[in-house]
Amino acid sequence: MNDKRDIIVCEGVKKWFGDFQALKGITTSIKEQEVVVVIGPSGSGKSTFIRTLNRLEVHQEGTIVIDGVELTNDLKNIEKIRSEVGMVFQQFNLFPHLTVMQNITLAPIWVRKKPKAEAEADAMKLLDRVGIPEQAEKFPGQLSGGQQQRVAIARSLAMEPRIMLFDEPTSALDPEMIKEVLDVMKELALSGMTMIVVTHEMGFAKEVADRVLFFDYGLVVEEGTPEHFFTSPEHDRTKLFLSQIL
Amino acid sequence: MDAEITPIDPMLDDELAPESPPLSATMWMRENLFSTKANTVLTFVAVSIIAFIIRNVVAWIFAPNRGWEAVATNLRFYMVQAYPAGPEPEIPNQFVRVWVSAGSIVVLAALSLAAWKVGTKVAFTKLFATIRAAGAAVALVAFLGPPTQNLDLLSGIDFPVIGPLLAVAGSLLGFFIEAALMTGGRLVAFLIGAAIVVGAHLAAKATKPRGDDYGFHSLWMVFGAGAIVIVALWVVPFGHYFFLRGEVGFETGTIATSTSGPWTVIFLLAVGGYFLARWIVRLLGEKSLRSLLVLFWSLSLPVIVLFVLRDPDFNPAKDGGGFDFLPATDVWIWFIFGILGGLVIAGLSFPRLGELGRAASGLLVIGSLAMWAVPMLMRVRLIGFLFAMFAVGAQTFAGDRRARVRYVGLWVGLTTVLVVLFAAINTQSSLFIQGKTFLGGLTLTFVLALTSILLSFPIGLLMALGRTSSMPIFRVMSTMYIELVRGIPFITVLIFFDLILILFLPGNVEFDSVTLAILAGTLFSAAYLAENVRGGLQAIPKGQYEAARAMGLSTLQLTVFVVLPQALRAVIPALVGQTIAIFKDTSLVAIIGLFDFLFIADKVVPAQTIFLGIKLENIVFIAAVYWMFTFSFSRASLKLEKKVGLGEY
Amino acid sequence: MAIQIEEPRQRQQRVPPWRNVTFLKWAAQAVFLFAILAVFWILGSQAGSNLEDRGIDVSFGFLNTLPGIRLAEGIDVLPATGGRALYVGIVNMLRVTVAGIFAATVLGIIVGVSRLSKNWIVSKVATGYIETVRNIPLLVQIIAWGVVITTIPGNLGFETGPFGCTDPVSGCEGWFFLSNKGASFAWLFPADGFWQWFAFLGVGVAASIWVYRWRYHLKEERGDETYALTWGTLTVVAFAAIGWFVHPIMGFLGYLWGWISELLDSLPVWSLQAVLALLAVFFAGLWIKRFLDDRRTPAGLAKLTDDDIFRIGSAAFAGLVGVIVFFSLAGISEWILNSGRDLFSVMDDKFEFLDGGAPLSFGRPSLVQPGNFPNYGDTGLTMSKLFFPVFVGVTIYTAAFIAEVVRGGILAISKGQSEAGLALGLSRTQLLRFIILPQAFRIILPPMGNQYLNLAKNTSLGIAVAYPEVVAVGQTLYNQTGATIPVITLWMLFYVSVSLFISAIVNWYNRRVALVER
Ligand SMILES: Nc1ncnc2c1ncn2[C@@H]1O[C@H](COP(=O)(O)OP(=O)(O)O)[C@@H](O)[C@H]1O
Ligand SMILES: [Mg+2]
Repeated sequence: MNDKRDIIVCEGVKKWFGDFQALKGITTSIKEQEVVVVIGPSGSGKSTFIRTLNRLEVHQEGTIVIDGVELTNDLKNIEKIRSEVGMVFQQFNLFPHLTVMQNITLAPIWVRKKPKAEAEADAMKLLDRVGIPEQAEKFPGQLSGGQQQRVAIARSLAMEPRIMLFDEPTSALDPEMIKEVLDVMKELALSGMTMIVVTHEMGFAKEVADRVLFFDYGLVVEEGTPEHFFTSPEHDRTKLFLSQIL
Repeated sequence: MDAEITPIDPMLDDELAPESPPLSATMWMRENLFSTKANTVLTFVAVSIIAFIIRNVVAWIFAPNRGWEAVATNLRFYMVQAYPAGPEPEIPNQFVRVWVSAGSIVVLAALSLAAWKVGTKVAFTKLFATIRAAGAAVALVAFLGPPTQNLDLLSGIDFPVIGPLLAVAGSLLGFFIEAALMTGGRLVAFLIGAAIVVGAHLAAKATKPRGDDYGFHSLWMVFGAGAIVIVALWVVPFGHYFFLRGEVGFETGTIATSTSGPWTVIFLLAVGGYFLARWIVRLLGEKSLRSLLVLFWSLSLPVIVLFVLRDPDFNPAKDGGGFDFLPATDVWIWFIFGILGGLVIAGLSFPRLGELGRAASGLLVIGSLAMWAVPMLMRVRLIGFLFAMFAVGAQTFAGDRRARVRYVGLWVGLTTVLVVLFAAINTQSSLFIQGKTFLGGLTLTFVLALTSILLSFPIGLLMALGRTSSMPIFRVMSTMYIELVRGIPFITVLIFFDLILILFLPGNVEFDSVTLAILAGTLFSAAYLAENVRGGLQAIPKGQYEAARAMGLSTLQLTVFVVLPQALRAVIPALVGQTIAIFKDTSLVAIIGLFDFLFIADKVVPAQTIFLGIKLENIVFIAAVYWMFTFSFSRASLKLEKKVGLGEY
Repeated sequence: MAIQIEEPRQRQQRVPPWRNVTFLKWAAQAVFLFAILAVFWILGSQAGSNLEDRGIDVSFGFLNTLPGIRLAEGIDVLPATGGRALYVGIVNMLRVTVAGIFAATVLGIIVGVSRLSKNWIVSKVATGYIETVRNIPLLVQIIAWGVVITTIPGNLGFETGPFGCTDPVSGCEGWFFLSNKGASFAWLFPADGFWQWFAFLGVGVAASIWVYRWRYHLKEERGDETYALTWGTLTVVAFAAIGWFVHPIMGFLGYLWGWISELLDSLPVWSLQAVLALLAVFFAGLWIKRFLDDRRTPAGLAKLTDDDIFRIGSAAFAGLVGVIVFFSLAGISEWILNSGRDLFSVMDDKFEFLDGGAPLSFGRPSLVQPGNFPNYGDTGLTMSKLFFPVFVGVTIYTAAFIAEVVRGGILAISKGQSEAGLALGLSRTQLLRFIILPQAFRIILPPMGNQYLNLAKNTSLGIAVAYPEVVAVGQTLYNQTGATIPVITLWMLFYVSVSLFISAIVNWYNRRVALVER
């Protein structure tokens, strides 16, 4: 693992919402092909953190460098990073007025300027990969939650990102659908994608993660390998949190 | 006040026709009219009110001294005002232009019915039930119609306090007795109505066992109604009223003399066109026909108004002989912007241009703004501004090669259309026009309403985006504009444009009052449209924006592909409401003296020497016409709404 | 904490402006603002030179000169100045607006509830009413009513007055008359001492709110019925009744008003200017302080974003503009002082009747026939034939929209709530009274405010039937003087103030309701 280079480097990232400081200085780096799971209590800044990584939130202090490109208010850098970082949301956020196919090909056609036929062929491959090729012409409203989330993953992958961010991808799903989404994510992790996953699925963390970050009050309180993290946590907050959810 | 609430489905009572009564009529009545004591009282009160209204309205309509011939004589005036139609020999009759306009709209509508496969299956039972209801209405109106004898039984009794009450009761009683003693025309009408009820009822009963599947395509009803109207034009005796040297002339004949021929031709063309289009759809699919029709519809308004009705004179005779080719400048504008500009846009749309393209289009925007500061033809400035907008969009909306070609093609097509339209606007009309403009009457009303709403659409959209923008200056400016305009009445806006706008413009700029009214209507309705669209924008979840941004879509792309389609779909009902409101609001131009539909009824006809003072009839007539259009439009929109609602979600 | 927070690296590398998101954002806005200002400037200078060429007067001078116009009706039919004429127009407009709002609300609620009635005929009548009225342009309806009222026979009032009229020459009284002169009906009018009584009633309302709270509190404590609403109502009634006789005691308020009026008269203009300027500075400063407090965290001031800085700058700029405006335009302060003085001296006059007597007088309409034609006397409330079409038109038209608003509100509530209510064993009437209407009211109020606003704006259509409201009067004025721009500016100011006023009320109510809900 150590021979891989850092693809994300964060130093002292701070973020305020009005008078509330959501991030109090996050310093961490993530290597290529690494799978990092972020856990922590609600409101601890997990979402805010991963949303600063593709500039959905603007951090006010500190630096974020992704694949050698620093995230500043430089339009070119933002465009480059957005096209390299895919994101999957808790609420899927599919576009309800577009078919599954149109959802997936929208960005490749208009951002990557791919010819439509090529984009559609690629989209079919992705739908195959997430296991729902037969739903291509349906509208999101006609799919189940698990299927929608898999479409959302395919939609992100269509931009051929090098990094994928997942913000509680399974929290809005019924239990029987969680597995189908997690399976897709595992497959993705095995294929070598760099992933940052905010989740409460501890099984997934133990099985897939290379590293676990524990967030509390806008800080990374503890980090380490899953074995270390789940068996011998150091901090009281971590212990308390683990005792509550396990 | 009735305090009883039924938690009914709101859709249910949107059907005006009475619902088909369940098994037994008495049970239905007991349930819906006489369920409680209070309910019974209410029923009687409501019935009395209806009876009173119908009776007085019918009495008024059929009173022998009503001046309906004022309306009948001025029908053409109402439709197109003084459009040159003869018979004075020095004015060439150009009326065929009106027929071409009306005909193309009707035929386009018929083609669209076929292309969008409008219509459903209507069961015979339902048709007969509707006919039955109509018959009942005829009979009822005849029954309640104007009195033929006065049976105010207890009038003349004059006790204090009880007197008035008794008088009311007496006249009510007399009213019903008298109503039963019908004679003459009322009796005939009543019998006809009753016969229709009986016939339709029997027919409905006979078809009922065959169920709802036993029916026909609903468009047959439209065609049937059209055919009945056409036949009526030829056969119903009404007489023809006309002006002859200031006198009203009358000759016996059918309802229409000069119009029955053209309407028949138009009707036949429409029906023929419908079946032709059906055949084409079956052969080639509906997609190409639909896009063709959309193109036709979007060009129809300017082409009909500026070319067909106005007849621009591009080559007027010169004083010294020969002809002048006026649009010479426009050809140059077209060449520079359309062709050369098209090349520039094609160049800008190469993805590899990157930042350079962005900088270039930014410069173009600044340049196009600077064009307003130097003296220049207005049309050049407008096209220049559009050009800059297209240049800005080039990077964003040109995808692969095919998309790029389409984008450039769109620009060239748009410039061509715009240049031709501007050229037409800038030439004289070759018509011999008596009034201020060639538009008047109902035509003017429609042109005002449609143009205002169409032009206000892009402005309203931009303003809504501005108002919801995260950029404070855009937000504040849009908000100020919207709130200012929504705070003041339309009439003040109209007067502002009518009197004052001219003061703010260089001395050589002139607008005719129709253009000014259109401008006023556009800027006024833009504010309301913006508010409606804002409602739709606010309904879009934040996640939609985030997902689009995370995928790398630019703000422009996100707005066009993700936000607006959803927002507009959500506000279709409000937009239709706004269109109806504008249609009604156009009547205000009568106050500033435009010859619209209302002005003719309010000021022109009642001032004609022969019809001096006949006003209420005219007002009632136009009210009925306004009602017909707005009502059917709102009904159609309800259907559309349901369709959209059911659609793709 | 185990994690060391490193100091952020030195400043990020410089971004060229054409790629800098923040720069682009503000540059676009600046260009836009500049373009708008340029357009205004160009238009303004063009207008200036045009007006000069044509010799058109754009000053507001007509407000203080004799307009030489006669208004058809109003509190002053021969106004001495243009300003007074507009004022009369405004009063006429407000008269028809207020009357219309009351009538349209009542009619609209009746129709809206009727439309939901279980009674088939009643609901169809209501539907028919709505569909007819709202699909015909209001202007057409107003003109139609204008024609209708003039076609009513001139002597109708004599024949159909409920009590008959035997002696038209010396005049006779009735309850309601309708003729081509308009309509006239019985009404309560304020008499001498009305304002003292009204002030007393105001005290009564305050007292009744207190009583209501007290009884309500008692109910919550004891648990049994304490008839809070009845108590509150009775308090108001008691105050009204007592006030009927003792209202002169409120006369002391007259001295107070008089004193304030004199005070305002004696103040020099510069003092108010200074106060206003100080207020502007104070409020701008207060706003900025609050804003910064909002951004203060235990760890110190939060990093301000570019939007924050813009807001603070705008607030400071607004304060500065306020100071400049108040100091350079002394007229504003003078106007405020003068109108304050006039207002209080008028109120002083209203409170000067110190002998008792009924504060309200009841008047029935009377018909008199001094010459050949019968006329309404001044004892009833008379709607002129100009007022009538505007009033009836806007009332009937707006009522149709209000009915839809009411229906929508009730339907929105009744869906789930009615089942719950019925399950509680409430009757349908109780359900409507206690559950649906109070809640529906919250949904209904904002769109209702919108309808009121529309009604207020629609009264401007009175111009088509020559009802002298503010637009019609303004038109007469600029036809006389040519002062189109000032008149239109005043119109806009007036209507914008009215709409701001109405939306302020609606917003205030909304906020209150929102507070209660928490
Ligand atoms: N747009 C926002 N405005 C104000 N506060 C916010 C915003 N987004 C998040 N917060 C606050 O920031 C804190 C961290 O939020 P978040 O990152 O969503 O937490 P998590 O995902 O760990 O539950 C929360 O207290 C939340 O209330
Ligand atoms: Mg979260």
